Amino acid sequence: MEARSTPRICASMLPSYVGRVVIIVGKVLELRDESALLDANGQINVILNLSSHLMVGNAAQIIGKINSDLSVKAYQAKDFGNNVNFELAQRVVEITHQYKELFIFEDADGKN
Amino acid sequence: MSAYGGYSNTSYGAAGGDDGGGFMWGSQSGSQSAVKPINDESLRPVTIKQIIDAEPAYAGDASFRIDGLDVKQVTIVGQVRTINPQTTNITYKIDDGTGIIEVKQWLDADKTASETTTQTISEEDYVRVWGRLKSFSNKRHVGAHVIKPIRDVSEINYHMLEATYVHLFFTRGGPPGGDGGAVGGGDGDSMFVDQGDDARHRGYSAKGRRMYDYLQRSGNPTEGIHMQVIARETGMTIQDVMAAAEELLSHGTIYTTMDDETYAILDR
Repeated sequence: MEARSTPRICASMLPSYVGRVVIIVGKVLELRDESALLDANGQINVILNLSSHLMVGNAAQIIGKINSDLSVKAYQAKDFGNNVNFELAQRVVEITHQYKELFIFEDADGKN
Repeated sequence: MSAYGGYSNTSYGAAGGDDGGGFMWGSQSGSQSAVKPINDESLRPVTIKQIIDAEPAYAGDASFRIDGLDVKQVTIVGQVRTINPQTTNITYKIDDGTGIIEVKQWLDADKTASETTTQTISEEDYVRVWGRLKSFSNKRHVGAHVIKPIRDVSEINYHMLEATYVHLFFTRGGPPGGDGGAVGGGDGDSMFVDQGDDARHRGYSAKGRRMYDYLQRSGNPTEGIHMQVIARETGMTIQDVMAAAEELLSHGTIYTTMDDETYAILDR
């Protein structure tokens, strides 16, 4: 039992969550050696230090920490296949912020 | 059904008097006629944060309240963080992004380890858990009846929306009566601020709320309003009004005036 949330966010929310660990679901636009370009209602540069199994064109879920340059250092990168409804995912992100009482424990120190 | 293999009364009885209970989809079927006051054993979709935030209903007892309603059976969807096999159970740490909670699946002694679901679930998998809220030395966990891997990513989003829907249903009323329910006002936060009407409202069925809202809207005349009028004005059937009246009467929220079919809100 841990009262610790990993907020679900999209690209436009990156600045508000610098330094925090977040969940991002998006579409993989590009894969490079150690990074990926993700579209989650805007583009996000994801730094992958692990051998990820992401595929260009597929959806991916990234759990990672937001750097001050708004790139995301991935702790976990999971391929979500090619059957993700991105509009739905985006609405869900908005709803989790609209009803924070259900989804997000506020962190006193802004870290988690 | 093989999927329900892990759900057995015998193993649960041994594990602490769990009476199992049925899987009922409760009130969220969407159709107004199917709306009933939630039963204790109704299965409620929740986020892990809701479980952590749930108020203990009675001291020392493993019962909890979410949005003012008793909750025992829950379903959650989250990602497996750790799997910890033990002699009597497998303990999973499940993280749905809102919080982390332990889920214990008790092992059936009659089955060999190979028959359990361990093989099919690995770390980082998304799973759906059906289980019962438990508390052990002040630590909450879910006693799982069934744990199944999620096959379609949409189910993760679906679950979060469903948990939100059910929360809103119980705190603000269902969609059909929702417009009349200017009860909580703006943001969900207000439910902790508003008192009086709102506090009395919470926990009522959609019918009860709808009837209450109508009585309040109509200025609550001291001579009361006849149930025929209530039925006509709210679009509910007479049976629904009677059920709603019974509920509101039993809480002392309304009283009968001229006869047994005419009601007014009891102002306190």
